[in-house]
Parts: sequence; C-alpha cells; structure tokens
Amino acid sequence: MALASGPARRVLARPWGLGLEGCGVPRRGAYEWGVRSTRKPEPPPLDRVYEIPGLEPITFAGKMHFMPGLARPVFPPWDPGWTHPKFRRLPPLQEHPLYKDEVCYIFHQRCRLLEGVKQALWLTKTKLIEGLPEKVLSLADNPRNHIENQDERVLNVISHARLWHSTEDIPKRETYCPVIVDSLIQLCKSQILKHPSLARRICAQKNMLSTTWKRESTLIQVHGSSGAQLNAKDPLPPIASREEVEATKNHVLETFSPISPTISLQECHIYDVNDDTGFREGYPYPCPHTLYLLESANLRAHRFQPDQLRAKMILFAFGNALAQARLLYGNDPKVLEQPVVVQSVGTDGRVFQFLVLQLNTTDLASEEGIKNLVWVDSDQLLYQHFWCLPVIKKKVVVV
Amino acid sequence: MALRVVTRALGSLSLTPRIAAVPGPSLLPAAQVTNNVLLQLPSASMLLPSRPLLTSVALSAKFVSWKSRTKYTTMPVKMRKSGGRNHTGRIQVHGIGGGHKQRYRMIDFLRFRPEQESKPGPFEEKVIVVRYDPCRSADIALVAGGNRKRWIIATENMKAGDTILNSDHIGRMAVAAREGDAHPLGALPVGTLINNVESEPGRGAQYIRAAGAGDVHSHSGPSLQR
Repeated sequence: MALASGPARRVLARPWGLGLEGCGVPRRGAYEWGVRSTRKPEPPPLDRVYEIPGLEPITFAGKMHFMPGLARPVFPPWDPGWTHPKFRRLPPLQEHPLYKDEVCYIFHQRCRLLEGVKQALWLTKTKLIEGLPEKVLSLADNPRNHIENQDERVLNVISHARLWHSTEDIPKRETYCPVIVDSLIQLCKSQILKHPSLARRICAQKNMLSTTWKRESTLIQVHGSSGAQLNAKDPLPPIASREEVEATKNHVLETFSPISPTISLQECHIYDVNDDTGFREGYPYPCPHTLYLLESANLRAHRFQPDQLRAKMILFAFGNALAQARLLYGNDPKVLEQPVVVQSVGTDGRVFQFLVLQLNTTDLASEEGIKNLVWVDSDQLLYQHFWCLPVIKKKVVVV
Repeated sequence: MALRVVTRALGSLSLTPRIAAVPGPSLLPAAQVTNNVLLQLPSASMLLPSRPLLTSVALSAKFVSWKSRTKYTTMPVKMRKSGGRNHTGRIQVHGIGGGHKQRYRMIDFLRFRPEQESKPGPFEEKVIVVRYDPCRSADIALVAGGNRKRWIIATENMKAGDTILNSDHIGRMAVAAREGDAHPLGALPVGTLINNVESEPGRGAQYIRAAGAGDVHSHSGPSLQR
C-alpha cells in the first residue's frame, strides 16, 4: 500500500477494485443507442393486492370510475378480431415458410460493394482482363458494320435526349438517360435490313432474376431486376479459346482482408434457393445477350460510382449466365464445355462501361480450378459535355 | 390530465345548493335567474363539503429527445439542436444556439467491439475514408472489418487504406504502438501519446476525444486502472 502512489492508491482504496464480482465488468457499459426517454414507458405495476394468492381484490370495475382505496382492476385483453392494415405487424421471421437458419448474402440492385470490382471478381470467381476482346472490337472496326452518317446520327441522338426531348430548359438525368439508351438501341436495330440475324433478338424490361450459389461455404444470391435486357434466340459464341480457359487455373483471386468478401451484401434468413431467369419455359428468346444498367438518379450521391457500377454489372451478368447454364446443363457444379457468354453495358447518360463475361465453370465453392473470364472496357465518354443554354457575355452569344 | 381534474372539480361546484334546484331554467329569463341567485347569498354552512380544488395547472414541456434510433448505422441521422435548453424548455446554458444544420454520424467509441461474440480475440480493421464531422472538432474515419462498417475518431495521420488493430490483450512485453491502434493501457509503453481513453474496459472512450488532444501515458507497473 505504501508503494502505490497517486491514482493507483485511489484505485486500491475503491471497494469495487478489491476483487469483487464487478471487477471485469464495467460499472456502466458503453453507450447504447436510443435515449431512454424516447422508449415506450413500461406499464404501471399492479396493486400489491394481486400478489396475495387466493384473494379476490375489490376493484372499482363495477363503479365505472376511479375510487381511491380500491384496487385497479385488471381486464382481460380484448381481441377485436381484426386489425387495421395501418397497424398490422408482421409475424415473427421464424414463422415465414422460407425461413432458413443458414444466412444468405443477397446482392440486389442497390448494393454498393465496398471493394467494387475486386469484391465482385472474388464473389463470381472471375479473372479480369482490361479492354474488350478482339472479336468484339473487330465487329466495331469493320466498316461494313458501320451505320451511314453514324457520327451525325449519334450527335442527333445526344441532342434529342439532352435538349429536344422534353419541354424543360435543362432536362434532368432521369429523363435523358433512358432516352439516350433507347435511341442508341434503336439505331442498332435500324441495321436489321443489312444484318437480318439482328431480328432474332428482343428487348425485355423489368424481369426479376434470382440465382444462388455457394462460394467457399457462404451462400450468395443475386436477386433483382436490371434495367433493360436484350434476349436472343441463339446463344453468343464463346470468346476465349480452350487454352486461355485452362490458363486461368493458375490465376489467384485477390483477397482483401481484414474485410470480409460479403461486406455490403444484405444478410437474409428468408430466401428462395430456386433459380429464376425471369422468363417462363418456352419463351421464344431464351438466351440472355446484353444487359443495360442505367444510373439515372438526379443527385450525384444517389448514383453509383463507376467502380460500383462495374461491380454491379459483373454480378448481374454473372447471375444471368449462371441461371442460363443451370437451365441448359443442370444444377451440378462442373466445368462447362460450351461456355455461356453474356454482355453488359452500364451508363449514367454520358460515361459508358462495357463488359463481356464468359462463364466457364459452375464449380464456385472451391478456390482453385478454372475461373470465369470478364473483359471490361471502362469509362468511355460518349460526349465530353453538353450545354443546353447558350453562353452569353456582354449581350453577345459566345460560340 | 390536470385540466380534466380542474374541470371536473369546477363542475361539481354550483351556486345554489342541490336540494333547492331552480325549476325549469329555460322558462325563466336570464336576468331573473341571476337576481334570484344574488338574493340567496350562500353562507359558509350551506356550502357543500368538497375536496381542496386545484384551479391552476402548470404547463409541462413537450420535450422529446431526437435520439430515438436503437440500431447502429453508418448513414447520417437527422438531429435537433438544443439551443442550450434542457428538458423543461428553459435555457440552462447560455450562448448555445444557431449555426449550420448538422446531421449526426453515429460514432462507435468502444474500439474493442468484436463483431461476433464467438470470436473474442484481437482483430484488424481497414480505414476506408477519413472525413469531416460537423458535430465535433475531430475528423472521423469509416473503418470496415469483417462484415460491418463503423465510424471512429480519426487520429492525426490516419488515411484511407491504413490497417488498424483493436486488441484487449496485455502481454508481458509492451506493444510497439502504431498510430491508430487500440490497446489496453497496460500493454502500451510509458510515454506513448494516447487519446480516446476509457476509464474501465468496456465503458467506451470518454476522455481525450477532441481535435489536437493527446495525453502522454504516464504510469506503468501493476495497477487495476486500464
């Protein structure tokens, strides 16, 4: 005791510091959110008369008004037999027919992955290649595939969507973004006369995709509708050759400890494991061809960053490819002889991201083995800027 | 409720005794009724025995705290400023009030808070972004570890991409302290600059939280204070 000095002596003098039960537990825990005054007040305690067993307390229930000296009556709870829809509570989660003990991490269209593309690649067991494959680029470079007056027509499309389409002076992004995408798809459709195989495609919207897969003992599900989707009667041919596919065996996926790969995904105990492409059997255009994801929120904070948008594109394209592969080849995890290819385009009205995903394997539970491939062409500007109003300086329009 | 008591008490009052009630008040004109009343001045003995009445009631302040959210979230939460007023509505501290509107970001002051109770050991977290907090002088950092993200007070040289360690382990040797790590005071060497100190393990940081604040860890040796 004599050797202790200052704070140590004060500590030893306190009664709780001398090895009582409260030694390891703090006197007051860390702050718990929610002030007590905003919580519901607990009901007043019953009169002490009710604690005496066998005694019938005399209450003022018969008098129909309060009487000091008599006990407060306890009435049986009244069940009206019906609840107004405004006040209906959901039944507890455990009673839902789809409740499962194993947790599932669901990716929906509002999930912003923290690690972006790296996290999407780990979740889908995919290898990233910068730039689109030569097959696709050669299609674009081929002058036979060019539309006549291509530049002029695209400029018209941009002006139409950004300025002429609506009556406002400066149309908002929610208006012009879908208009640009629809007009560009229409431009491509105008080539049907030159390439009749384009007629074997159809545009669909608001289809709900749902696929589940197991990735290293965690269950992951993609669920939701991506914007517009182009479906075709014939599947896309595989892009990477067998040698390139075999070469992905040596690729090691990037991890990002201490962050778990399922961060930013929604944890859920109520989910349905069955796959759903969004279309019924016998649909004449069964193969998913291209997905169009739009980021058309007006405020910059509500739009996805380019990295998060690319991650969302990868996951939705993968979901579509996996659902199609399971439809064609069954649910067993295996390496596909005929890889499934799905493309995706993401935009916010000005910046475009292109993506081609080739699904080589449905065996996603193990870390090694053949990986899937994705070619990404990111941040392509369709136009640098677009001013709707003329710039006027000293009453003269500046060109 | 107090108003109801007052009205009920006043309702039991009557200018005339109940036994001699005025018959058919609608037939008599109002002037005659009042004249009748004035003539019959009730004496003290004729007044009905009644309880002591409360004829005034104090107005209670309708103060509800804005801190109603029970679940932790990293999204900023709307808050209401106090202006120096306490729960009664009167100014308790002068000089407070005004200023730009602020949204509150819920800061986790208990650094060593493992995500699951099943994994109790020291763990690492990664700093995602360091940003300005309007509610305090210090900057705050969004850190992510495992499956969760939370805000903590950022130290001076913390930047995005750093890895910080949260530990409750005290070894025989003092830990080589890095900036941003959280250790019990018993594990730190004497002379380290410390901040966000809690008085007991599990209480949460309550001391040395402001910008520019930093204290030198002074005492070593066996002591119950952490």
